[in-house]
Amino acid sequence: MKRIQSMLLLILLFACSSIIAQKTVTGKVTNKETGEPLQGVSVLGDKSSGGTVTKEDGTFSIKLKSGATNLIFSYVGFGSLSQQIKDQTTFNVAMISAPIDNNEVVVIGYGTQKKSSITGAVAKYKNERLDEIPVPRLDQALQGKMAGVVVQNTSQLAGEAPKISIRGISSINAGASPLVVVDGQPVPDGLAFVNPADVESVEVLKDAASAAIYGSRGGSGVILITTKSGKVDKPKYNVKYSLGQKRDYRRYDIMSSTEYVTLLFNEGKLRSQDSAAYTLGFTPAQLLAFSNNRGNITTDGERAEYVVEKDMLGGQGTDWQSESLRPGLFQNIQMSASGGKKDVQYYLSGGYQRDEGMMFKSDFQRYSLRTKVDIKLSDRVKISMNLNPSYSRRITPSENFTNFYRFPGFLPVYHNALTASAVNTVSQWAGVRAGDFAHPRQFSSVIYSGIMPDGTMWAPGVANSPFGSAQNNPKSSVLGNDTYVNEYRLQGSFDLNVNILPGLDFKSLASVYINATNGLNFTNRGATSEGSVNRGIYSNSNLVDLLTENTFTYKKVINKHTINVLAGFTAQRTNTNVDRTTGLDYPNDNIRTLNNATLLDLTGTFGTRNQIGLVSYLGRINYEYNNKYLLSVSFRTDGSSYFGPGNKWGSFPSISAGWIASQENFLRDINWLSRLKFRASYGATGNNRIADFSYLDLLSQGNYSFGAGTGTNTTGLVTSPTNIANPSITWERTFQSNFGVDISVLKNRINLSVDVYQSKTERLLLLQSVQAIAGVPQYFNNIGSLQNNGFEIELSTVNIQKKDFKWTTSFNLSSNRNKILELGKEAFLLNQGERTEVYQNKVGDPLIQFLGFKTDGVWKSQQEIIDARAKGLTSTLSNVFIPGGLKIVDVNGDNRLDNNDRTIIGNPYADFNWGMTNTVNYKSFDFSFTFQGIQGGDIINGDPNYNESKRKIRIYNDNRWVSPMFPGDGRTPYSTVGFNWMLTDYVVEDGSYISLREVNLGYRLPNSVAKAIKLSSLRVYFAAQNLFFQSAKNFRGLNPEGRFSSGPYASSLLDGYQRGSFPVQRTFVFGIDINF
Amino acid sequence: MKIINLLIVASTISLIGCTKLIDLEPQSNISVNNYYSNPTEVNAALSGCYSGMQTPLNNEWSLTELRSDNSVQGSAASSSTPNRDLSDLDMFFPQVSHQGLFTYWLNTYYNIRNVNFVLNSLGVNYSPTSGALVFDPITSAVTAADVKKFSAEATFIRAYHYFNLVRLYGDVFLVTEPINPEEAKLVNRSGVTEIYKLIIADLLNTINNGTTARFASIPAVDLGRANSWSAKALLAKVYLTLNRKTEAATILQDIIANSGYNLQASYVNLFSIANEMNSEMLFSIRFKAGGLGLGSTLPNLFAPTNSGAAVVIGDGRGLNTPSRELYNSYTAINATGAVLTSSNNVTLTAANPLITVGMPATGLQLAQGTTVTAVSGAVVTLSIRPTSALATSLLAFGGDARRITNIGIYIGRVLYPNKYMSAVAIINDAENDFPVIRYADVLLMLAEAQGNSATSIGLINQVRVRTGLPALTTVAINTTALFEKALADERRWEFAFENQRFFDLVRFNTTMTTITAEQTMKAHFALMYPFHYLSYPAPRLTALDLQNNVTTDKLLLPIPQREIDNNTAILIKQNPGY
Repeated sequence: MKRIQSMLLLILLFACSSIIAQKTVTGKVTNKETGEPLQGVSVLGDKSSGGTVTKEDGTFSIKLKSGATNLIFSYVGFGSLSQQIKDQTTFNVAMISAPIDNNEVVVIGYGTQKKSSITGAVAKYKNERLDEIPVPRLDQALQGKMAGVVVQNTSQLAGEAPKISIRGISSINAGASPLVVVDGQPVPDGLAFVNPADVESVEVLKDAASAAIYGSRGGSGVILITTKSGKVDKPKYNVKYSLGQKRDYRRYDIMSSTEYVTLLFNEGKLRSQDSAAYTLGFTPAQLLAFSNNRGNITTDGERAEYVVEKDMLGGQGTDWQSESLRPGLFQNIQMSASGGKKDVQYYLSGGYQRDEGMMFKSDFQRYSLRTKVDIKLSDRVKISMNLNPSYSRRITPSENFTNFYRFPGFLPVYHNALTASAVNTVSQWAGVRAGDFAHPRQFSSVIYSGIMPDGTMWAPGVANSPFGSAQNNPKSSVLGNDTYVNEYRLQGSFDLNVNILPGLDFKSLASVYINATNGLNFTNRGATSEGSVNRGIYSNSNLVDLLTENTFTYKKVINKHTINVLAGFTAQRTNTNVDRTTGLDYPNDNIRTLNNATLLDLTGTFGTRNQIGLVSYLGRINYEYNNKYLLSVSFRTDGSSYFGPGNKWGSFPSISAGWIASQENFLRDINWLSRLKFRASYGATGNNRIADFSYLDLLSQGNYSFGAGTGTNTTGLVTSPTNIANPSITWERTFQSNFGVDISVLKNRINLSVDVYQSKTERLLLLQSVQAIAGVPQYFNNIGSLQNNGFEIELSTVNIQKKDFKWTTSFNLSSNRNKILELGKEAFLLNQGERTEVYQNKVGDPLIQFLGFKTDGVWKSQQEIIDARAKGLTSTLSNVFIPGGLKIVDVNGDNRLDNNDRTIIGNPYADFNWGMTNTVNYKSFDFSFTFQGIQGGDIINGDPNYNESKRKIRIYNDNRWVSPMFPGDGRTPYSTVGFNWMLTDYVVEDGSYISLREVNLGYRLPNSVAKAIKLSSLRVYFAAQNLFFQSAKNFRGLNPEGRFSSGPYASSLLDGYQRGSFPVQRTFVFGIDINF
Repeated sequence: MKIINLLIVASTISLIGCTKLIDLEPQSNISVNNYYSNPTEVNAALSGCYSGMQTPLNNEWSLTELRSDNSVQGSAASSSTPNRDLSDLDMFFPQVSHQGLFTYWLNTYYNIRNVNFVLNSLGVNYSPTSGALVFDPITSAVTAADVKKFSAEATFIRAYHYFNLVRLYGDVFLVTEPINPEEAKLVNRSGVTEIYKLIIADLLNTINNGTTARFASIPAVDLGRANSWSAKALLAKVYLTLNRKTEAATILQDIIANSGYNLQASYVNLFSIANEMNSEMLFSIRFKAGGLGLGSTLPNLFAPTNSGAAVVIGDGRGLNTPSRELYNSYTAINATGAVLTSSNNVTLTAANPLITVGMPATGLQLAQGTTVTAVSGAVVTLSIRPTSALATSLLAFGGDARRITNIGIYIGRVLYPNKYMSAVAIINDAENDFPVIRYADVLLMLAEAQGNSATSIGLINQVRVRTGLPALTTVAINTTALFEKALADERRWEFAFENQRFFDLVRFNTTMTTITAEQTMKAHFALMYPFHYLSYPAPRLTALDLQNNVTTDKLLLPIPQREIDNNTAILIKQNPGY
């Protein structure tokens, strides 16, 4: 301790000694290309002289210490410039814009590095107009911006997290989302709460060598978010406001009950002209109906629907999509102040965002504040403080979109006088009055009669049920439920930098992240089903994450050798408490506090506490020789509480190297080549994200009732029904190699980076199936390995650069392939999805493939079936041989249609992900637009699984088979007859799309005008999302990005399935951006 | 500077204390390694085993009642996967990968795991070679007396599960201690004999070490726990299943003489939630309403679809639909009553549209409002006059009280199992206990063990007369066939929806000479075809197809295919016929 103390004393002495001798120099900085003065250029003298920035007219004045020999000019977007001082006192400097600043600094794990020295694969996205994109979340704004970073908006509910993956999927059952680090602190929901306007840059550590410094958590890549800091400048104020609206891009074309029944009658007419229609295997009753009704097989229920819609609703069916969707409001208000003097810099901001979902009762609001202060206590001691409190509120609807559109048109939202009196004829519904919510069950068992589309009278005289559902009318369910979650978050950090000796720095960071969440899900009496009691679910959770990081860095330049060393220790503890209380039976739906509940529902009441600890030692050496040869070695050892005794510690080394070939003599003279660099890296990262304490068998509550009468609740304990302990469970390890090349030509006007990589994940944390006789179906085991390989291309060009006109393009493209190398002793795994569709994981193949039947159109006639069977075709499957139903291909040619004929019918992986942003500046106008898309990748469309969808969504009915003489296009099955679509390639659709993801058009007031109104700048802009969205031709759903995963189907092994997706949303906003 | 000093000191300290940071114990759950150390803890774990008996009941009915002639899959027209799966069971061709088969299997073995943890902690191990339980010394603070007491209850639960498994799946896997995934891969199927050896050893343990108090002296707090009598009754059924009738009869007579359990006076009250754990319930799986997570799901599963709150709050799923055949087999009016004896051609006054022309009858079964046009032998010809009014009181006609207790009617035409209906405040949270073995079963089992005799008919009559039916006479029941038919019918009416019928039918194959499960089911398909199976969408099976599905092999379910596919270590055989 003594030594440290004396060292610190020494530091103090250094810090206090400042030299007074000074001289003043002045000058002006201009843009070499345009000749215009540059404002805000940072001018720095060396030898601790401090710095200043240029004024509006480009002039500056700086006091220099006597020893100063160089002035350094730097400005965003321009190459920095160094001038020798000597005796000169006036400097007129012209700066050249550099599209890619080779001195650009990139944030990496536990430090920063010059971009030119990077040897791994690190993508950087600087926040330019990020906060003008009309989305509320940072991750949504990153879509299509960086190669290899795939963002997918799987839901369109307001505030919902998109799915992010970096370089494919490296884990099967453990968490496969990237680690998110906000200003140095790993925060699980970092992408949710950071206000996009506060973001300075987002860096993504893509390869294992870069991510290895995050050790056991870096396996799926790392996203580093750096927030804005104040700069030495006069105070700057910024106010931004935008307001807009979002709407659905496209809806389903759904037939009303009238249209549908009319269609059936028309088809009946066709059938009656077709003698072969009588051989379809219909029931005798249906055949009788054929002859009576000229081939019509409309059911009584359908006729009843028709009657209700036509006679009681005036022919105007309910448009359930309109009942669920609405135009949503988007609003964004941002204010910030920043600036600073030599010793103190500050950045303060406040923001409010409001994003109303397209669906009723879907709403997201966020308020956030940030205070960041950097203080230089002395030349050698710096401290900084960063505080970011935020509050967000999310409201979610209780029903999904499917539950709206699948309801038939005949069902009104509210009863009118006619429908009420119709259902009043059933004694159970005698109390229904006009104006009450109409529910499907009320329409069952009513005696209907009316005139049919063909003019005949239909009066069966017995009760009929048009549409049965235990569910309430979805609108009433949604209106009868309020679900909201409030999240209060605080991220705060304090860090201290001490320069101990020249080149040696000590940094200590203490940071805390607190997330307190409370929510209520209140369902009114009778809202979900008749007679159900009202229910309030109160949830409270809090997460406290404490982190301390202590690192030493040492930098030394000896001749041509530059060495950077990092060594550190970090410790992190996360405490999580989750409490939920469910109260039932409140006397009034509007008084919702727990003190009014008559009963507690113990199944929905619990509290859990959890602790996770992580202790790590880390180190890194960066070595650079002569600005040409680069080498980096890093190492991290993690100890985690996730694993059992003996398995807690893991090590994650990495090595990477670079060669800046353009610095070699033999390339120096090539004029057009500005830069050529080769990078290679190899490293190990891990993944520890499994359920806590998987190495132990834990007991949980399993009470029972003993005793007289109805019994007394008695404490009981049972083992886990879902997981069996694996004492030897340990990390999943990913080894990845990466090769990259960076080329800049024509004075950096064209920059191209290409990376290829291959990774192998071993000891997969796989939820392995257990023989059920052990009592539990699965457990976490380290088996199997998985490979990902792919490439990424980033290209940025300056197409035109003139005085008043500048056009730049950046383009990225990535492709990833994955393959299962091994699955323990299994050759393959099969997983069944929500609709019994099958997902296969097979060694040697991509992680997920759809396994199902190939189809070849539909059976056109009974004769065709008879012919096929005469040739010996048989089947053990149900509903295979039906005219108008799907015709399954006998893939293995054994003349028997059975499960062995299942084959690979698709996989969910895109061939390419790409994005392209163009930015055009013309005089006071700026215009940028981003195209983003996915090429390839299949989707299992689950929407038509619902018979309601099959019957009434027009796209599934156009050109459908009607009878042998009228087979439609020969490919569209008739309504619900025949083989289950969900098991076939008939519902496998192309997930490709191209979207005009963002458009931003701005106009900046001329400086003179701005000055006249005492502003430094004023810009108005129009921004839009998804102005254009084109999905693949055979895609029949609404949103190729949508994915369904919930409950038991929220498994990473069931990817590619969607149903009930919201339409794509299209957003327009107008905004204003004022600086003063 | 002091602050900086402190910080560096603090970070140095944190370096030292770091291993503590990752040596964490779970805070919300206790690990099995640290449990079962004293009687209170073992007792709680044992309660957990009782609680684990609830889950398999969620779909046990689909493997038993639905596969018998008691119920059918209600939504014939539905193309939804769950309904198709249930139809497969109903029609006797379950697929090897059928989800419900696996769910039941898993839930049962899961509770066996819980029981094994308890027995393991008590040092009670099963020796397959000797076929007996071994009590090894233990180190925990549980006394020898407590070891006996706890083990008695635990082995009852294990025996109950294995008895169901062996009857449903045949050769199953003998797991008698908690096993890990590697060990599980090395266990193959054991023969039925081996499984019964364990079941008998387990039940004998309960009989010998469980409480032997007469019903009236059982402390109120212990009601619901397995005791010596519950085990005897279950063991009698095991013996009967194995056709060891003499041993069964001995035990049953012991229960009748010494247990203090007896018949309740009224069948209607038997399943009332106000009359739980009554003197007839030798063992019930208990449920408790009130938002405790202990409620029964059966009312919401069994209530008709679209019934709103008319039958039970939260609507129903329409499962386990009683077959019309079962409904009509109940005697609606007393065959010896005044109404019928006067004439063979009677008109009654109330209505019930459910009896259909051509439906054969076991007794003379007449429903209200039905015009009887002819009675010829055992076949009653009826004509229907539908009206919407509901039957008011069947008892007034002296009919079988069990019909309205067991089967409800919604809007005059939809049948549903009514046995476990009670008002619920929350969906899937009903109070009704599920009877596993009742005193009525003891009486009827004894009749079955003894065969056709006056005493056996007397035993049947004990059960029969309380329901409003006339006693059977030795004059009328004068052949083995008539006796067996009367006994089988009595059991069917008595235990409808208690998941007994399927097991009864299979057992009758050995204990009876004139009734077989196969013939019964074939007759059921023939009867029910026009009223139910014909309403399946095309292409539907013919009545003959259905009858051909009923083979001796299909009386066993397949071993869930997942167990076979998942095991890469050893070869597991599937049951024949699959």
